[in-house]
Amino acid sequence: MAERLLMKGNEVIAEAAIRAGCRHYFGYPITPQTEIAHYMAKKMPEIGGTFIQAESEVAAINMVYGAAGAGARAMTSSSSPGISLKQEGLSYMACAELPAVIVNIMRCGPGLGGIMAAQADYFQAVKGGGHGDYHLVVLAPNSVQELYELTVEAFNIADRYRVVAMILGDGMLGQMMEAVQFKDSEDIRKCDKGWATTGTGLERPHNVITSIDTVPERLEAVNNRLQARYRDIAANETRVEAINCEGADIIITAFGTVSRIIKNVIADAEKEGVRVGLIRPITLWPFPSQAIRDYSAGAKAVLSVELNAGQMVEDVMIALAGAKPVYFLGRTGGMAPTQLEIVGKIKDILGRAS
Amino acid sequence: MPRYQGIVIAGFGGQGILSIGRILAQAGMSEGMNVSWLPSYGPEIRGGTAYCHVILSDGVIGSPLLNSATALIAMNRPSYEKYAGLVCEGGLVIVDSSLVNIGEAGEGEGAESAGASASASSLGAVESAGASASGSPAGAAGSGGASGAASGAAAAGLAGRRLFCIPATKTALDNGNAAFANIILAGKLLAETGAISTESFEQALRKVLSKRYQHLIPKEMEMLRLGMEA
Repeated sequence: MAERLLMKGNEVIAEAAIRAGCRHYFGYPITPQTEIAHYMAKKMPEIGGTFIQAESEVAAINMVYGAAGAGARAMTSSSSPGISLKQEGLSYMACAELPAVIVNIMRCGPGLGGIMAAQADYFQAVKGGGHGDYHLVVLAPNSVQELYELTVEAFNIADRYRVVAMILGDGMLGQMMEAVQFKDSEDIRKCDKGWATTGTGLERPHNVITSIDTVPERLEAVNNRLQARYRDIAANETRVEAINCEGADIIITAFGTVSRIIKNVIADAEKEGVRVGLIRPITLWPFPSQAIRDYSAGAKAVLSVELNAGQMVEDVMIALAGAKPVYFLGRTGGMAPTQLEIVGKIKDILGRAS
Repeated sequence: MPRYQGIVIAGFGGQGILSIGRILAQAGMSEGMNVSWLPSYGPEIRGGTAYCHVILSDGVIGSPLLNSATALIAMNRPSYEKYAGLVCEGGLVIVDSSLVNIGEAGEGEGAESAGASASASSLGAVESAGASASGSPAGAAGSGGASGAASGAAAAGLAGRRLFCIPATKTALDNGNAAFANIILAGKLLAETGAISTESFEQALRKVLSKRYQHLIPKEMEMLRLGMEA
């Protein structure tokens, strides 16, 4: 292992992408993720890669479509309003089965909103976002070290399943500095991309990358193929972290930066004699429904804490299908719940449950 | 005893608020601690309040956002008023008294300040911090000497916190550059907490400062020691 470096989350995302073999980055600046583009602008020319500041977010995602179609590892990044603009491109890429990585360092909306940390794009990220039946693989790191590891993994997952993988973070994670330890060599699992449009050399039939198919039978077959692949992803790629769940009075579900606040809450509640468990989905899609059922089996209740008005809590409720009472605590607009606020909510819930 | 410091550094954009936080984090990391550095990145950084939260800990760091701080370095009045209440009992409040008049802060807007630290004001006697209280904070600001002052702590609702008023900007200017003020204040933090060693601090300066500022490191270290003795 190399030495520990103190780096900003956004810079680590960019460095991780380069280490994963990404040589094509297309972006358009927006706070709080612009350091990704800065880093790429500096590094890509040095390593023979491509950095393009596109004329818009829409252009950037379509450049990713092109690079991915040619078989390259490609990436774009933005923040909430910019990610909304990219949704059409993401839907097209899903149908064209193009692997790529997209980063959303969320800000608070709706609309142009503010730049402080929020998690209000959960629905957009995990439920499709654009039109049509498709999924992104959505990875939600909660530390700078994990931003590195999951960004590398996002490229591997994207290639393996020919899907777009999203890194979903927020301004707090993107802007903060923490220690990161890069590996001496990356586990880059390159896949054969015989489908890529790289020129036939007059030796094979043309590869065609498209998302249009007006023959219903054929398009249904495409949809069936995508859905079968999503089932494979759910079976193989679901990731979750569970802390302190055994014997817990209450289970908190939280992802990304909020899960870090919960780690403090676990210690605070312990002092008051309450055992709090944390289930942290690392993949938001596929959602770790089974793990949520298993780890919460002995608890009295489940509380989802999020930086939104109640989004992941719906998936928690679907997972539990009425087996446990499910509660929600959320803050919006860039506010984060304090440990005190969360402990208060826990006591309130347990008071009711007993 | 596992080491832990949760430090809020706040002031105007351009005072080196984020840099000094980063140097502390870098130094803490080199001493084997877990560290986090969370900056303000909003529009407030332009002309308003810039701040960063720095955590140095032997344990795992949960939230990088501090609900409670062991130390505050305040380099302007709004920062002092906004964050003094975050400092826990026994914690440090280090103020650049060249720029912040604590006496006035206590009297003029004391209600707001005391409100932010409501529990603080009922905690009893003010700890007398610093070797000698140098009269009024305004006097300290003008004195040129980097001496500590505890006066005004009670009025500012900081009972139970250790308040140090250091005329850092004045001292820095006397030494040729206002930009040294953050280092002088960090010196006081190091002296009072032992959070990191001066050797680690110097190493961190080498890592963090860009090439064109490396030649200033001996002077920066001199300023750090001045702050430590203040």
